[in-house]
Order: sequence, then C-alpha cells, then structure tokens
Amino acid sequence: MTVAVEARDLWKTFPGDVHAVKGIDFRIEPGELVVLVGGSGCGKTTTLRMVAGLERISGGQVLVGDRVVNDVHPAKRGVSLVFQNFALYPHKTAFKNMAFPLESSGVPKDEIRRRVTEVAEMLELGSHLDKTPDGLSGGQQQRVSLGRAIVRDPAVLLLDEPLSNLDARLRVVMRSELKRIQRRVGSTAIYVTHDQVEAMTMGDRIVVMDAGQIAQIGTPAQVYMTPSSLYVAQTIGSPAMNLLSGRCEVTDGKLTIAGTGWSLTLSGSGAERLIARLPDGDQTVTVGIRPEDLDLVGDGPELAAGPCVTAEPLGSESLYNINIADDLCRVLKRETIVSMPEGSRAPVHLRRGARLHLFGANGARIGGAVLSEEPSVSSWIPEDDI
Amino acid sequence: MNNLDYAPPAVRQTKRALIYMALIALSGIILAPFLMILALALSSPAEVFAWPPVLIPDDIQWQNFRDVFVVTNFGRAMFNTFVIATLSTIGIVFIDGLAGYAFAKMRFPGRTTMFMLILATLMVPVHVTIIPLFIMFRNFPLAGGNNIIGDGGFGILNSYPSMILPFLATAYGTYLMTSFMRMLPDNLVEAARMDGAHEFAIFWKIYLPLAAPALAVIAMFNFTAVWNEFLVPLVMTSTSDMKVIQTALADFSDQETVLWNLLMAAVLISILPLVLMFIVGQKHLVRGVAVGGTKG
Repeated sequence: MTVAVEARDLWKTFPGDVHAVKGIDFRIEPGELVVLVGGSGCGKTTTLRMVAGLERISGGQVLVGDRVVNDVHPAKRGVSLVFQNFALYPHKTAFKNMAFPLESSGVPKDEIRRRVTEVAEMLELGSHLDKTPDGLSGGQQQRVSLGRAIVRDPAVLLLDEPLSNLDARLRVVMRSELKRIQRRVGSTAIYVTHDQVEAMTMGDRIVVMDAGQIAQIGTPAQVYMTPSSLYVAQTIGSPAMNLLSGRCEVTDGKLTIAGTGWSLTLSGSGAERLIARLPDGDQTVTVGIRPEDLDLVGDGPELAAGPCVTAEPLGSESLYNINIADDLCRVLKRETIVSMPEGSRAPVHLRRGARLHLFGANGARIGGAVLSEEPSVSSWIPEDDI
Repeated sequence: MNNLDYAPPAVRQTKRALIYMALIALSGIILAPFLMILALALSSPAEVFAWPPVLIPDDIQWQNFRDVFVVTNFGRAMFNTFVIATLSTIGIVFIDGLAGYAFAKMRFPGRTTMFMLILATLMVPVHVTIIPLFIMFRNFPLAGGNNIIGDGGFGILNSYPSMILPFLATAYGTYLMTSFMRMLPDNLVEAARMDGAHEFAIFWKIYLPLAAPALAVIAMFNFTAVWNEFLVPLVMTSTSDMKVIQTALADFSDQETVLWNLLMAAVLISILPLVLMFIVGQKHLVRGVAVGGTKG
C-alpha cells in the first residue's frame, strides 16, 4: 500500500527558542521519492525525524495517508527509517536484525522466515544471513539496514543520509540500488542528504531546505535549470554555479550587466523579458552561470579574461579556475586532456545555448535567459520559451 | 606507552631476570597462606601443631574433606550460601542493569542528582546500615508472626530474604552499568522504537545482551562478596539451619579447641566454586573492569 505524506505548517522548536523547522508545507505523492537536501542545520533531518515520530512536533501536522500522526507511536505510523550509521543491533545476525521488527509486532515465526528470506534475496544478502554486523562489509550492513526497514512492508520509507558512511565507489553503486529497491517495493520515500549529486540522481522531486524553511520544491531539472534563489543556485550543481556580482544598465532595449573585471550585454526578447522584471531602485544583481555553460574558446560573447589558476582533469571533463578580479570563475570543458596550461591567460566565453540566471539584491530569482544557438548571433531568448 | 628497550642484550636479559625474580618472590608471599591451608587440610590433628610446620604430611588425610560434612552441618551452609549468592546475583544483574539503562539512555528530571546520590552511597560502609536493616527486617509487616504494622514477631529475620535483600542493588554496579551503557550507541533505542519494541524490550533484547561484559563483572563481584559475607548473615540469622559458609566455619571451634585441619579443609571446599568461577569468567572480568575503570 502506498500513501501520500503531507506536512502542514510544520514547526520544530528546541529549548532555548531555537527554531529548527519554521512552518514548512509539502505533499509527497504515493510512491514518489522526494529528497530533502540542504546544508548542515537546515532542518532536513529534523523534518524527517518528525515524520518518523522520533522528534516531537512543536506545531502543525504530519499526515501519513489521510491520518494525522502527530501523536502516533513511531512503530504505528506505517513508516520505517534507515539510519545514517545503519543502527544495526551488533549482537544479532543479519537475519535476526531483519526479523526484529516482525518479532516485535508478533508475526508468526514461519511468516518471519518467509518474509526475511524474500527480502534478503531481493537485497542479495541470502548468503550473509547468519553473520553479525561486524562480519559484514559497509555495503552489506547498509543493505541489512534497508532490509530491516522494508521487511515490514512500510507505507513510507524514510532514509536519513544512508550512503554517507560508504566509500565513494560504493555510494555510486548503492545509489542506483536504493532507487531500484524503492521502485520495486513501491513505498513512498523521503530521502535526506546533504549531497546534491545524490539529490539530483535519486529524487523524483527535490526539496531544498535553508534555515528551517523550504527554499524550493521541484523536479531535479526544475531546480537545476531555474533555481529560485541564490542559496538554491549555490546548493544544487557540482561544480557550483559561478555567481558574479554586478550592476544593471538598460540602454536601447539592451541589458548590460557589469562587475569588477567582467561585463555582458544581453539583447533580444530574453533581454526584454529580464528588463521588464528588474526591480525598481537598486540595480545591484548577481549573475549566475553554470561552469558547463562557459568555454575558453568559441564564438559566444566574451564575459571576461584572466589567468588560469588551476586546471583539474576530472576524467571525461576538465575543470578550469580562471581568476577574474580575485574571484574564481569555474569553466567545465568536455575534454580529457587539459588544453589550457595553468598560469596562461584565458578568455571566458559563453557557450551557445548557455543559460544565464539573474538574482536580485535580496537573493531571489529575477529570471533567466538562454543564449541563441545560432552561430554569430548574440541574441538571448527568454527561459520560459525554451 | 613505548615498550621498546634499546639497551644491549646482556643488560636487557639481566633486567628481565631481576624482574622475574622479584615477581616470583612476590608470588611466593601471596601463595604461602594458600599452601599452608592446603597442607593443614591434609594433616592429622597431631601434625597441625608440629614444628617446624609440615608442608607435605606423612600420611595425607583425605578423609578430612568428608569429615567436614560429618562433624558439622556444612553441606546445609553451602547450600544456603549458594542460594543467597545466586538469587542476589540474578537480582543485582537485573536491577543494576535497569538502573544503568535508565541513567544512560533515558531522559527524566533529576537524573543527574539521583545518580550522584547513588554514587554518594559508595562512601557509606555497610556496617553503618546493618542495625537499621535489622530493625526493618524484624518489623517487616505480615511476616514471621508480625501484624500489619510489623509488631509481634521476628519479621523476615532467619530467612533467605533477610540475607538477599541487602545485596540486591549496589552503587558500584549501577555506576559500572551506567558507564557501560553510555558507551553503547544511542540510536539503537530509536531503531528499536521504530521497529516496534517497547521500552522494556529495548532494554531486555538490545541493551542487556550488549552489556554482557559489565554484567559478568557485577555478577562475579557480587557472587564473591555474598559468598564471603559474614556480618549480614551473623546479624540476620540465629538458627543453625540458616547458617552460611562464613558463620558455619565457626562451628569448627569452641571455647577450648579448634579443629584446624577440618577448618582448613572446609575453607578449601568453600573457595573452590569461586576459583572455578574466576577461571571461567576471567576474560569478561578483565574487559568489564577495564570499561568501568576508563569510562564514566
């Protein structure tokens, strides 16, 4: 059975009047996998723990299905939780760890054996059931922990940074594994992580949290392509988006944005749309451009030029850090061998089809525009038309 | 600690030889009384007072070990001791385990104050409480001929409870269990709660088994302490059928004579279960004591 999960004006206040979660609202549809992502202390884990029932709710409501579960015992909410450090019972075998929730709810022994064996096979743990956690590898412990959570057939599966204790290689493997299992089990899932790559790859939707509030909810593509604020722009994307501070000037229907050591002039319908949205008064803005939208060569408009501080080959791509007026501008090129030596002076061009994000002085998104794909044309198209 | 010794081999070997000699000498001092007990236990009454002392009797008196049970009711005393030591040990493991879990894993008002108060009782010698305990047990309501307000009879004196109850919980055990439980991860409580276990099941099925090394220490210390207890049984009991080992040993002497060879045989018999227990439980004892000594 899959159910929706809903938070209505959810608050968590800790002693000392510390507001960890400040009146958030969200609805997760049945069978959906939603990722709560954000930096340390943003309230994502507290939110998850309130849904789990491990943290008392200070205000608002949590609904699992149609039922308000604020005062329902964790075990009776129909939710189960995978802990960050697995929280396996050290003295119990993998089988007994997975059987424990069923034993606690009085399921007959034959049924326990059948269900644990079934889940163990799904998780490829069949040959490890008689081992205690210290005899299992990190990935196997993680799967036992997941098995313990899904063996009860929960309506809602909660995952609290379940991959953060694994090494980088295993994390990538388990990422797709977790998604596959969630799809197969069909539970609604809430996944907490600080890793934006995990958020992007796993979530049907992402909830970006900042200081106890929701900064943005959307699909990974929506959040990546149209970040609602500077915070979201900085949080989502790796390498991080380039953020350049400058001032706007409108002349003859063109929008010129210039900062220390760089400038950019936008024309066309994209520029007109942005001009229309510019706030009155303060013309201080921040321009956001993803590293993959910049190039060191090409016929796109030149944004700036500066010395190449570092050139990092990442495998299939290379990342260049270009110094522009003491700020580093990241340029990501699809090339295995570094083509620009460190120390040499490099121009920074916008790629064809580059997406520009414009944020106001208060950090909120003003709008965006996309550079025309046509060669030698410096015209911009409104992002809404793409 | 750096154990590397860079001295020349000859110096190293001499140093080691001196250390071994000192250790052997110390061991001899410690073992001497035990060897004396063994020698006396196997001696005839005539050899007990022989001078110089007889270390290996000419005619080994194995029947002394049988006579211990013939001359006095030592078998009954051993049984009584075994019952009170076992029951109080079971009780102490359970109660100190519960207390340790509560202090380490539960949040409640006055937790620290209560823990400090319990620790403070470590400073109160048991002899100070013996008279109040005697009065409480004598006036135990509806027991031993007492009425509802505890008058008229002798309460629970001369019974197993009077010798078990004083040892049912100890401050040291509570301290050790609290220290050990604090080392165990907190999120197991939350995991078990999510898995549907109630509070007692979390203690019983998760934390108590994990605390086995500390429990083994408490069990061994308590069993030994109760097995060797003299004062409480002496004060709380007066009938011969309620005697325990330590009070029964007095039966081998009267105003004029002491049956030293039988007394020593009885002592040997009485320490045998403890020796066996320590041999079996040594591994847990070392681990548990190390925990109690380094954390808290």
